[in-house]
Amino acid sequence: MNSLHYVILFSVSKMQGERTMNGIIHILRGKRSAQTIQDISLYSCEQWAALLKNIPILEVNRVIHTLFKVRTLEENRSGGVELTDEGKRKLDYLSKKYQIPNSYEGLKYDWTNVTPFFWEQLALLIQTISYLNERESTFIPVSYSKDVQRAVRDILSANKNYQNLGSQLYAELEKILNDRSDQEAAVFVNKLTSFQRVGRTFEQLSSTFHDDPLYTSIVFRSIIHQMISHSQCHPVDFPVLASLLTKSEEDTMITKTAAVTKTFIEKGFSLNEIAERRNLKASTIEDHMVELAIHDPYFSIDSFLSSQEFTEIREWADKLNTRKMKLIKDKVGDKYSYFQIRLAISSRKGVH
Amino acid sequence: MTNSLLQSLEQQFGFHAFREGQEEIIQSVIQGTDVIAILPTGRGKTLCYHLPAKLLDGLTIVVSPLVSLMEDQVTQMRASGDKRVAHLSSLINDTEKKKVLANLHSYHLIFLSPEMLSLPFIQRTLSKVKVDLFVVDEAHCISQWGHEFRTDYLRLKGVRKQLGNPPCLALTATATKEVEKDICVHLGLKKEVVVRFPVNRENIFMAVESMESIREKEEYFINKIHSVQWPAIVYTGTRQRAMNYAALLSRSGIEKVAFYHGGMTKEDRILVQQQFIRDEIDIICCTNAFGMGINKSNIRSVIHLHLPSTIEQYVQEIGRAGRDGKQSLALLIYCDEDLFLPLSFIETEFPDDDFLKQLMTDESIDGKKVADLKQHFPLNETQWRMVTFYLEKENVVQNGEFQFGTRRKEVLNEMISNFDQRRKEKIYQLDCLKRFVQTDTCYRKNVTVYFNDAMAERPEWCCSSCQSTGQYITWAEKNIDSIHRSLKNKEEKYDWKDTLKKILISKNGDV
Repeated sequence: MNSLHYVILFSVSKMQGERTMNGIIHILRGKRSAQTIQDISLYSCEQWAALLKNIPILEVNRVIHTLFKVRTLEENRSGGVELTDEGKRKLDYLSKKYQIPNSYEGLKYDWTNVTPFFWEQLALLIQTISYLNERESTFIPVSYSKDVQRAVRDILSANKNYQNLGSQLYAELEKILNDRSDQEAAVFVNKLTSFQRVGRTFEQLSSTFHDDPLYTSIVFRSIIHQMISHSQCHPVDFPVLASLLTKSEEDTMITKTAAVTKTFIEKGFSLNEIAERRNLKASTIEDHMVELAIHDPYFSIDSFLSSQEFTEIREWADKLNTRKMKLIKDKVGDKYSYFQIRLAISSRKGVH
Repeated sequence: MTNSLLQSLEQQFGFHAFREGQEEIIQSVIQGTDVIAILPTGRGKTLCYHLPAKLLDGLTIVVSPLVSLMEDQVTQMRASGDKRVAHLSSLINDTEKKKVLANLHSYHLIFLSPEMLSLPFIQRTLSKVKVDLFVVDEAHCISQWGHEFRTDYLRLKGVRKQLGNPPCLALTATATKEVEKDICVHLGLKKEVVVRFPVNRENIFMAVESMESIREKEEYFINKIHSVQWPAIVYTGTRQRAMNYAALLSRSGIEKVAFYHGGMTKEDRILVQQQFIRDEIDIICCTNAFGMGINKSNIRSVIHLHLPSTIEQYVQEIGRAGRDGKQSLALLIYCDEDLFLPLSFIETEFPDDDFLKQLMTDESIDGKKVADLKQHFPLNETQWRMVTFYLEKENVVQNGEFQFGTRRKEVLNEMISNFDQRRKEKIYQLDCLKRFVQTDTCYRKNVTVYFNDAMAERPEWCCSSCQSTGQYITWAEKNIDSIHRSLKNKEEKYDWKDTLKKILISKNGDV
């Protein structure tokens, strides 16, 4: 059993048997759909969403297949997946070996494309400085992406003195890596390609992490996440790292189509009017609203639910101890629509 | 003229002399003659169009089927200072593509995938500029007799015509006479110059060893890998085996070993490739995805643990050894079971007859879009492309829609017999390789005969029929330096701060 087994068992254990295996895979692979976005919020999966983004789906399916076969996972009557007793024991055992590092923030940094872009820029910037230090100006760049190359070129031309830039970047990286164990810091440093040496693959770095490339990559990504969040919170203390943060709109957590719906809402159109104007189904627009309720701190659900109604639905959810719409709907009957229930239980905050 | 070419070579690339054949090829294309160049890998193929691209007024277009290789080439050219080079393929996004197309005049060399070149919009844009040279790389893909037939290549003749029939340079590493003929016909070459190099590489010892079983084969491999010269490439038949053999070698004490296959992330592929080029890895276990476009001159051994699908492919792969001209080894370790894998690849490569019959007799399909039907039939992407290409050619598919018409039955039968023919050819090619492997006559001579080359003088170290593999290895151990041979030693103390400082902080003092 390796970390892939661990991640799957762990995520199943968080869903209270109320979601299908496919629903869980979508969360782990970072699918950008309304249902998945809502599930992440409902079951508080923010930390580990998109954890398996880069793992081929065939491999994920193969592991899931074995987990069912050795009876660690089973399907319940309503189609949800649960851990068997054996599964619980396995998970218990694996949690002693593997832990998702605290600084890992899947939804924030991996579900979007923030992490790869930040890392590719950082890696290319470091490679460039290292070659400049050796008075070499031609080399094969670690990133072929034009966007990354352009961003790094901009940073270099904004900092005419690359030697200062190198020293400053060293200080920033050291400050962050000092928080981590030596083995973890070494993973980051060994990933770097420089004049001296080509970066290693996760496979090659896994010996200190149970010979497990996936787990090594999770540790690595958690370091990158730490760098992103530190430089976001303290741009003054981490000027070089902060200059790598993207300002691009593509990286916001809201899907493009939901963002369009939002502009209509801001102009004062109703749900049905928006559906008509955008030539989309009303249910699609509802999906957008739920998505906005989850991710957009300025989005208000007041026009759909009073604070009293909101509280009532939330209370039912707590009483039934479920996040399943159907169970709540059965209790409240025709008083509330599915859409209202979804809004109430997925919204981050209450009604103003 | 010759002098001025040499001058350009010095000015542009800093080389003082052409390698054999380059000058003839470059001279001909600059004069506007069509050329077929059959150059073994590692003989400076890229220069044959890179220099003309710099010298000609108009644009040079290079069609290449290997998208990631194309990207590597562009990156290398740009790294060496030539920024007037770009590529158009699935690897760059639409914005980048548009940017390149809008600024065509600022480039002298553009690489394109055949898929990209078949888009009408790309053709229209290209036909607005002056194209002075049309290069087809891996030109053997145009022939059914070639080892990688690509339907997109059959459209190239039409595209070339649309671009005003610029002179064409067809490049390939290996081509028999049949393939050469196909290249001429399908690209519409006229009065072409053929520059053919013998595929024989006198500095490679060609060894083939037959074993009774897989187990015996593995034992032999593990035994020999420690005594052959490194750096070495070990070719395996599947991704899984590449990984397994790398693990096996690592367990046997070899420290710097890695695997490489097409299923790895792009980042990892770039890293492993660079590590190997920079001698940070001694042995690489890989599928045939590895090797194209790798510029590494000191590879001492190429080992095959599986059967390549054709002699052409085998020759191309062993040709990666010893590009620096020094004595090197090609070792193929064979057992009869190795035939199963390539046979099963052939079996699944083409769409099967029952499916084709179903597709062509189901009335409800008439008028439907090909794209909509894709998920309802168990065909992979390549198979769909073969079928669609065929049906488009016969007008049974028009504008992406099925138009059954009256010739349906006929077309169906033709298609079935066509695929059947191709399947037979592949089996025949595999059989050639099997016979090649099982012979006890000179391997070098057999390759020469296969490609209709004249047999050159036998080198001191020829092959395992003329000498024995054991003899060669013993001799090589004494006489050839193995670059380095690092076995695992105790973990050194690793200080990440030290390493990071060395990378980032300039030795020339803190300014």
